[in-house]
Amino acid sequence: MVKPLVPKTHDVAPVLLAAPAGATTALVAAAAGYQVWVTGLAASITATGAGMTITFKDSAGTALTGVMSYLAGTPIVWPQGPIALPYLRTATGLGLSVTTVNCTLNGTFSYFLVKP
Amino acid sequence: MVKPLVPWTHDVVPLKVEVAPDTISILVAAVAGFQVWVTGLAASLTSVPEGSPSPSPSPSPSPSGEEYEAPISGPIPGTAIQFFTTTGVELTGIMDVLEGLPIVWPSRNIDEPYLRTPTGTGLVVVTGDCSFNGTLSYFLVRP
Repeated sequence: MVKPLVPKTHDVAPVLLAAPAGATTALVAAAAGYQVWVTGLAASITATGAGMTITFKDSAGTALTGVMSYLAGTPIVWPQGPIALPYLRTATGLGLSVTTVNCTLNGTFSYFLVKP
Repeated sequence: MVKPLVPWTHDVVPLKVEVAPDTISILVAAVAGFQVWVTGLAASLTSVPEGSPSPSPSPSPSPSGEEYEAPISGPIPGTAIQFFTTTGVELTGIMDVLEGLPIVWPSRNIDEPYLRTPTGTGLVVVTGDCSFNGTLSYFLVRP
């Protein structure tokens, strides 16, 4: 495993991911002086309508990903990667959220709070 | 522990990917003396709805706002993407992916990139009849 480039605040602890449909759900609260680094995710989509999409955002509402569309029932797996190579990374002092359209998103994800 | 073989320019900052259908898009601009190493991708493709006009392939401006004149012929067919360097060298073949299926290149160690451009070239993606959305991780590496 690649040595982290920055100190981490704690060992990684996978957390529950349960995002209802048609909402922006806070996943990780903002912490002053820290960034959120997402290093893995395992989840699935449950359709509540046509045109299912999810978008990850920071707590200020800035999109961290494009608007990703998925088939209902498709497993979404971001394999656990090196700490230094996160899939998502917020700016300092911002938390993480996800916006779901016509679907729920359920599963688990792993993150670190990192002081840059 | 794997020690990176090369120095990197900065901590990895995942790049938001939002590319429209039938588009030639610079994801990472060329930097003199550096290569682009892609270490992870999480994204999906969304097909253009049937009956929607499909625009002609058009280059998108680079992050610096410069007009990009890619030596890349388009379009590519179907729900597909293809990666190139900014000089038009193919980095992948045309990759067809069903709409709605996750495209995941698991995040890897720094010295094991999925894509690597020659020194001084950037990274380009070409979309077919689909948009390409997600996040991509890369490093600028001086070989």
